[in-house]
Amino acid sequence: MSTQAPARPLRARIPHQSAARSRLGTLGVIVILALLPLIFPAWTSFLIVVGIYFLAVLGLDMFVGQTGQVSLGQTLFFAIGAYGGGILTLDHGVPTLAATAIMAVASAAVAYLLGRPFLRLRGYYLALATLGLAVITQSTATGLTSLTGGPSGLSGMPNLAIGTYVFESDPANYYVVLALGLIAALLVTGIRRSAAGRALAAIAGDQQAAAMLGVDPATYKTRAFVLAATFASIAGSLFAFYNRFVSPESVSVVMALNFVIMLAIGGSRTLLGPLLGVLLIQALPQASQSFARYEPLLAGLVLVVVITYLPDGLWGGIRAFATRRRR
Amino acid sequence: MRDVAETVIGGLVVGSVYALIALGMSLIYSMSKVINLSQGAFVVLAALTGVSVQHSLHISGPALLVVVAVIFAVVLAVVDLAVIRPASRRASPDRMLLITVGLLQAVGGFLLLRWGNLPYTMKPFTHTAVVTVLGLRLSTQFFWVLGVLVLSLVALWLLLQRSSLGLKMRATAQDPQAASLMGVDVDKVRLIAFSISGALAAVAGVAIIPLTFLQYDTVVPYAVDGFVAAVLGGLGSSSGAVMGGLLLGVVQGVLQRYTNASLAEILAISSLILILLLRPAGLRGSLAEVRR
Repeated sequence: MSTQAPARPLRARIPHQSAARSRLGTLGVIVILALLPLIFPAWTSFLIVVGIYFLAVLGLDMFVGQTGQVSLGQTLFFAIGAYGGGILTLDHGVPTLAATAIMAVASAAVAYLLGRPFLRLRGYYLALATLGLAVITQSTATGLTSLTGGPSGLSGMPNLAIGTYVFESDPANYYVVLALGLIAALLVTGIRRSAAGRALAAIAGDQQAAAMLGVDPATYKTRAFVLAATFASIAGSLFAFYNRFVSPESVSVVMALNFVIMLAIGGSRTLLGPLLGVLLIQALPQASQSFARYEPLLAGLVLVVVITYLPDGLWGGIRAFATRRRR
Repeated sequence: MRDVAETVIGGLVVGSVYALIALGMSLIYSMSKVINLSQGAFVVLAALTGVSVQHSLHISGPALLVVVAVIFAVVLAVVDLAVIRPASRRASPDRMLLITVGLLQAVGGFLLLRWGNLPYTMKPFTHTAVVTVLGLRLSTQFFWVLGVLVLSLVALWLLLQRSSLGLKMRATAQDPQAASLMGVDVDKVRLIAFSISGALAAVAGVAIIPLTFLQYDTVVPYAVDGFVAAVLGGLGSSSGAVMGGLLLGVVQGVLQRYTNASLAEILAISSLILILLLRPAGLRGSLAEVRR
């Protein structure tokens, strides 16, 4: 720590240069991301799925990473987005974009109503209550056949469309997901730097101390929960409109655990952490057909190792390693 | 009437398994404040291990119970040494839950690799599969499952209340630091708690598999239901764990019989959430632990 201290004021003295450099770096990353489907056309559909899950995991990070509590119920809102979007477009002829927005608002409302009572529960109990939501989600998707299509799922919903333009091809969908991912990343970064972000960080650090300083934990936690739900719902709608199919498998309890696993492996409170986690968990089964069988075992072991030895996740570990090398 | 009675008894049998899972979770929670969400996964792993052991050794049901219980006492001890102990030195209790989610995932993955994705079952322990008691047609395996639960409870009670090791365990549950200052080897006590929970998971798995089909993806329902039972009863309370397990089993059984399976699950979990929100301490727990 003592060797690191002099580096900080040095960097602080040249804010213009470092801000310019980081802006350039961000631009570079965006250009590379935009070129990806041209460089690796075969990977485009994989990247779309990664982008969709990234959106949901980034939302979850707003809650888990910022408030320090575990919510296992992210599939509920993913399901509201996916099934709700599907039902609205299939049965009621609502345009896809409007359906996505309606369902995002609906998810936010559900999260708000659930948030107050749920967020009074402590660590394990909140985990259990939200795990309960995940179980209810899966059972509803399987059991409510008249609305959700039961175990065989819901299919044939249209691709996403704006006006008359239909996002049918993989690259078109990729750019939609990329744009939404960037907007989400921008939003999340903005919130983290705002007063609300600092309030959330204070709550994560010490809830009672934060409350004494005038930060109302319940309000901020509910807001974070609502935001997480909105992200998950949009991700769910994108998922349904891209695949034109949604089944109970994509909103199962296993999937609910997977969202948390992806976040924990990558590391919270960053942008690249969740992305790394999603990439790793989604890439494992893609690596090869026979390798897919090893995916659950490996994902579990990786999670155990990461939580034990890398408290800030893989990305946090990489950063810590890089700083150590630089010194 | 007969139908209702049979449904309730069937629920009690399934509930016994939940109770055994919840007992193991509760024991580990008391000793080390870790919620072992993977407890239910070890029930399935033990059951399939039992099938494989039975396949090669052809031993009787009770012998199989003992063999698998010994194996899993060792397995969970190794899990504690290799995973839980190093992790709990570094991670907060909230993150320890994620460690056990990882274990749950890993056990499911191991089951998929070793036994594939086909469901497994086993012959009942007793040759006459069904008996008629008071006009009720009951599987003889029911009595094995209930007997295993009763025996486990008696053994656990004797250990905790009537032995010097039990005294150390109760001391650790009350205050690990004070216990350690009084010369209790807390790490060893925790290791033993994990071993016992492994044996409990093993007997639950081996006793229930003749009545059902188990495969890699049944780990999540067992993990969830065991967790639900443990919290329903109040974490850290053995009597609560048993009551929670049996209650959950009966409620699920009755709902499944008279509604459909999905609705039963939804109703059972919804009532759990309501209980959490209205009476968060569970049947036998204390309120202070639950709310912030």
